[in-house]
Amino acid sequence: MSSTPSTPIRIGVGAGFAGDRLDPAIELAEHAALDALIFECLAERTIALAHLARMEGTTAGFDPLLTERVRTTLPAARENRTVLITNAGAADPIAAAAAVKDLVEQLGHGDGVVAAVTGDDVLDRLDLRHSPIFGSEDTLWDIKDRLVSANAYLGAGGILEALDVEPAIIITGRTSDAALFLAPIMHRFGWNPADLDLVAAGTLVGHLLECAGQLTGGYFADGRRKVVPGLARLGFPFAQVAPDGTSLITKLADTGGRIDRMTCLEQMLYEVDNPHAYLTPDVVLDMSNVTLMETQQPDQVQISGAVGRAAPDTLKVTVGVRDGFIGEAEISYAGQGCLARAQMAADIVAERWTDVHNLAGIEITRHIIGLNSCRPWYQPTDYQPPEVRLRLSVLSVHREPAVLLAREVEALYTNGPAGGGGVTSRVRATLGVVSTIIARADVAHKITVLR
Amino acid sequence: MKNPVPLYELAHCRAGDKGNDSLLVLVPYAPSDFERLRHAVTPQILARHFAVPTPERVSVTPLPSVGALVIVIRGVLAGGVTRASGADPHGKTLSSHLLDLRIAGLPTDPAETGLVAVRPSESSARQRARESP
Repeated sequence: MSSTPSTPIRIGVGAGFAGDRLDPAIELAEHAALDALIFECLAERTIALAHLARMEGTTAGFDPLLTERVRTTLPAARENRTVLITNAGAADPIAAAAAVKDLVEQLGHGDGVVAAVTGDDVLDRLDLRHSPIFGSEDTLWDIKDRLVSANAYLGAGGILEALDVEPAIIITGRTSDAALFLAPIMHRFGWNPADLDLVAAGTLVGHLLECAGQLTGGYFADGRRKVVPGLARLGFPFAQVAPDGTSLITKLADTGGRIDRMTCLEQMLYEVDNPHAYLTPDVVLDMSNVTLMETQQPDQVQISGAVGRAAPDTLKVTVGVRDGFIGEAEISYAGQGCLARAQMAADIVAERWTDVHNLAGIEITRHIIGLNSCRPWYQPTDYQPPEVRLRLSVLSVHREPAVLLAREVEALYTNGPAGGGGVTSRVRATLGVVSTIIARADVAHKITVLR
Repeated sequence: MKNPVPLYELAHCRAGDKGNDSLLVLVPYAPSDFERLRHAVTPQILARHFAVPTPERVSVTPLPSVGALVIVIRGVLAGGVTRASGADPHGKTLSSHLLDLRIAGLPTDPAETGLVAVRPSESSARQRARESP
């Protein structure tokens, strides 16, 4: 048996969401000497939207930016022996792998192996009558006619197995975000999945990195109390993880952004409802005793102290549900009395909604941008803004009311209060997401290798 | 008495979401402010500030090892990212909303922020915190 490497593994993040910038990943691929570069591109709802798109034949079932990300990073990644790992396979990791394999060959790296991890799609495996919907008294059976997709959050196991074939790229569907990072760390050091503190340490590294620029000072900077240099060229972070699970979080020196205790702490607790027990498919991570320590070097934070407990024997499942249509429409007013005119416009649309269109059962949400659109419950009483933008929206089962709202706001141009300008509107199908659980024994990952 | 300063002067905040719940991380700039912040930012005060019907909708978990408060406000996102038709369905802007909060008993002069001094008026906030669920 080969001995465990004693040097740290270097692991970076090239995307924190599906639409993220391309250039920070290129910088990492070229200059960070990484062992693994991860693209996290699959928000909770994204996979359900991808299933819907595939069913309706509007696009492929995987992330449309995936090939662009591979095209721009693969040459440097091959040169530096960096494996690319991504969940951009979304609803169809095998189709994504086939497209990427074609691209890999076009780029002159025909020897690069592409592996797909599947098994997260559990729509056919769920016992709908006995699948509770979290936060309600219902089961999936009660909404069975509206179900679009059901994907279990897989852990690191599938990616670990795929790494055995020494692939250039691994493409998954739904896995926990942290597992994308944990797997290459476990693989490098041969960690035992039962060594829960190590698994917790690797999971914490993944949790810190998974939102990319959010760790390096993006979603942090306010320009006054929290000043971050070079935001237009924000660098994405990478970690050096030691065999004992301690890690050093840093970024490339010539990129924008900052890494310190403050940026790391905000991200460590980001979207964590219970820091004493953060549930993942691989481990329950306890952050109670984590320490974040700045080193003598700039933009370096040393992380240690993660504690792990056994994960539950069920996996979380994200279920996509057809949920009707959202219509949104906006119109602007400026100058003297603009707020009163915007409110007059909203009253006119509301009156026509009930009296002319008989739609009293469908509530119009009314907000004024510049006053109360982000926190409707909280607004100054004596404020006279120089300009405002009225925003009206509806959520309806059928498409027609959403379309009608857009028309009614547009008609304010000629029929409404004075000086209304710049109408925009949008009608879109909306997809709800609910969660349930499935027994681990009912879920199995599968690896498809394209050589 | 002068108006109390907003939390913005003492602390920084990050907002996230899970379904219809807003998850907020509140961190004082000065570690020495952690104790009085944890006693001042009660579920009662937060329920009022976020206009949720009862303090039971709010949980505040202190993490003293790193000096941060983890705050969950349940049902504040008008349906959340999938169902809310409003301007900010994720509630990304709610970190700034939290930092708009002014609490009596926290320092009234921005120049004083970061001081360790515990004020007498804080004891009432502490009392409220003890009564919270």
